Amino acid sequence: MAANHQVNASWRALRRLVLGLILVVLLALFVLWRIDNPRVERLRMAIVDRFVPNMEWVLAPVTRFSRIVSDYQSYTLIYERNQELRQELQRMKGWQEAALQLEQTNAQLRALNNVQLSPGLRFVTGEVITDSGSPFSQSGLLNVGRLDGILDGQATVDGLGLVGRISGVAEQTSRIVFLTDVSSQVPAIIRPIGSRAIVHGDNSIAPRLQFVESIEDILPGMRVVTSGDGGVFPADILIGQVVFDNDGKLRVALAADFETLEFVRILRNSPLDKIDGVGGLVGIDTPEITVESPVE
Amino acid sequence: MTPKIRLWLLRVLFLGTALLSIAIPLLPLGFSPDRLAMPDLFLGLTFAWLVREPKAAPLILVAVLALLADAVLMRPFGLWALLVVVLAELVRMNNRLLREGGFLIEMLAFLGALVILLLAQNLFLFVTFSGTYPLNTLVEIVITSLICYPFIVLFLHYIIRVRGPSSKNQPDRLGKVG
Repeated sequence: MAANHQVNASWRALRRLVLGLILVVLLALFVLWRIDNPRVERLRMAIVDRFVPNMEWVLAPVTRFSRIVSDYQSYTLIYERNQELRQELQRMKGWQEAALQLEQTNAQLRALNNVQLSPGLRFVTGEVITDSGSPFSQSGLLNVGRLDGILDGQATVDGLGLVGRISGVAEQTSRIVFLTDVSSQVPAIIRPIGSRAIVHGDNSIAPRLQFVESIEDILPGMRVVTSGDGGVFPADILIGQVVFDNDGKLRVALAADFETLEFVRILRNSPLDKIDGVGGLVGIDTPEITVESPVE
Repeated sequence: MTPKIRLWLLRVLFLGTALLSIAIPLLPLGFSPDRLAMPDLFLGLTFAWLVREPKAAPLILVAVLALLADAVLMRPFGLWALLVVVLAELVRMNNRLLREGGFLIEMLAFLGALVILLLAQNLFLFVTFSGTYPLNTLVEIVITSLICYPFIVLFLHYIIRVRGPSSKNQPDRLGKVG
C-alpha cells in the first residue's frame, strides 16, 4: 500500500514536470512565431504538406456531398435562373456586337502599328483542396507545389479575375492568400481613366480601394486591373469593378467568384528583364573625344 | 474486454474524432469571407471527452493535436494550443464536479472557458503586437461553438457511447457499489 502510494506520488510529480515542459515549449513556439515568422511559417507549411493530403479521404466524401446539396438547391432555382439568363443573353448580344467591332478596329490598328505583344503568360492549373478554416486568414490550400514550379508571389486567377497570390510553398502543396485577406495589398489601375490605387483586403467580400489618384473622377462600374507596379503581379489582370459602399468608400466588387472557387490558374510570369542603374548620357562622350582627337 | 484494452480503444477513438474535428473546418465549402466563423470543434470535443473519460485524452496527445490544429488552421502558432492545454488540465482536475453537475453546468462551464480563452488569446496577441481578432468574429466563434457543443455531446453519448462512470455505479450512503 505504501509502495503504491509512493509510485503514485512520483508519477504525479513526473506528470507535473511534463505539463510544465509542454507549456514552456508551446509558449516558446508562439514567441518564436512572433519573432522569426518566416521560419516558423515554413515549419507550418511542412506540417500541412504532410498532414493535409492524407486527410483527403475524410474531406472528399463530405465535400462531394455538400456540393451535391448545393447543386440540388440550384436546381430548384432553375426557372428563375433561366429567365435571368435570357435577359442577360439579350444584353450580351449587344456587347458581342460591340466587341466584334472593337476587335476589327483593334486588328487594323495593330497591323498599322506592327505591335510586339509580350509573350503569353504560362500557367499551371491547381485545385483548391482546403480552406484556411480560420477567420484569422483568408486563404486556401492548393494541390500543386514546388515540384510543379510554383513560387512565392505568383498570381492566381480563376479564369476571369485575380484571386490572390501564392504565399507559402511546400513540395506538393502551396497556399493562396486571397485578395480579401487583411495582408493582401495589390497595386492597381482604374480603367479607363488610368488612375492608380491599392486594392487592400479587409476580410470582407469587397476589398477597399486606397490611395486613389484623382478620386473625384471615379465612377462605380469602372474596371480595376493590376498595374504591375512592384513587379509582383503581371500587369492588366482583371481584379473587378469599382463600387461605393454605404459609407461612400470605394471598394472593388471582385470579378473572381469566391463562392464556387474550385480550380485556379497560377500564372508563371517569366521574370521581366531588369533595367539596372541609369543609362549613360546620350550624346557626345567628351573625354574620349579629347583623347582621340590628337591621333587624327 | 479488459480495462486496459478498453482504455486504448478509447484513446484511439479520441484521436480519430479529434482529427475529424480538425479536418471539418478545412472543407472547401466556399471562400467568401462574409460567412460565419467556424466553431472551435476541437476545443468542444476535447472538453466533452475530458468531462466523460479524462483518461482517453492524455496530456501529450491533447498538446500535439492542439498544435497540429494551430498549424493547419493558420492560427498564430502555439498560442491557442497553450491555452487549450491549460484548459484541458483544469477540466481534468474538476471533471467530477462537471460530470455530476449535469449538462447545464457543463454547458455553462464550456461557455465560460471559451470566452475566457478567446479573451486571453486576444490579450496575448495584443501584448505581442500581433493582429487581434475583431470582436464580431469572437462572438461568432462563441455562438457557433456553443450551438455545436450539444451535438458533440450527443455524438459522444449515442454514437461512440462514451458516458463516463454512470451515477448508478457510485457508492451509496453505506459505501456499497452497484
